Amino acid sequence: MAVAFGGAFLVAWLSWRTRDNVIETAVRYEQVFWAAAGVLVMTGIGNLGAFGASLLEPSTGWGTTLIAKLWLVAALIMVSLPRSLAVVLLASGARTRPVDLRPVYTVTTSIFATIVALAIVLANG
Amino acid sequence: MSDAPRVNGVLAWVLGTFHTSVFGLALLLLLYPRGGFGAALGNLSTLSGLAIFLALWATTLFTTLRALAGLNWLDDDPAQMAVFFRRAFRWGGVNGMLFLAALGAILLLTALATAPGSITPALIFFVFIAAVGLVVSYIVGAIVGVTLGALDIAALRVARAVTRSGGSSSRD
Repeated sequence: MAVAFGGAFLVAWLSWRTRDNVIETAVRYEQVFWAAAGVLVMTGIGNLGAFGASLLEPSTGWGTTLIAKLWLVAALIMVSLPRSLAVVLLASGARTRPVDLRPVYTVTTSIFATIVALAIVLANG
Repeated sequence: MSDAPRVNGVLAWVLGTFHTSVFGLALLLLLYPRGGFGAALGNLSTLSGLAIFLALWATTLFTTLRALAGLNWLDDDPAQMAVFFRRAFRWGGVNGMLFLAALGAILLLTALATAPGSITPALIFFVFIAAVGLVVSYIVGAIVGVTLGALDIAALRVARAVTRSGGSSSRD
């Protein structure tokens, strides 16, 4: 989570400051982002399994927050695919016009910030 | 970073991990709201759960790589996309079979490790997988593969629109 969230913040910050080498940095971030996404889903399922029978039901406040967090993670994954493909398109040289990556990475960082906030709520019961 | 093999490697990594994550999340979002999910997962050890997810990730990456092989997928050419859809069906089905085989092997190994004296149920399950499950898993995998392939193409068209519009700013 720290790598994916921190990386999104850094690429957003970099794209707001300069256009130089942003694509190369963005490609690196996309590789790391998807590794982190896979690990997050894997460990998320594992953490739920560790609760076992004591896992709170979806009708509870905790369960409602968890469902909201899962939908937000799903939204992040869905938003991230076009972003990653845009970066890969730019890296492949198929697109030569300069593209402003600031909005996509700012949105990614914002969604991540909301997910982190919900994760803190869930961790505190 | 303009070398094609490296770009194709990144593309397969992105799409393969997207497929795995979406599949895992979709299962969670379908099963948890129904209730009783904790008890169902509680029967699985942490190690087995991790092994199952890693197996799904590995088979999905492999089949995604195979589905993209030799295609200029980023060009969004209609003829290439038709080939991609056929491959999504075929390799989605293969992924379903590979994952079910891995699932059976992991559960069999878990049964052998935890209760070596009573592996008969696990063996029966394994035989069932070999006889019937592989056919069903091919069909389910093919349907999932085509669905995710359609999502991939939709995302590619959004990405192409974003890069085509340019989004130039005052600093360009």
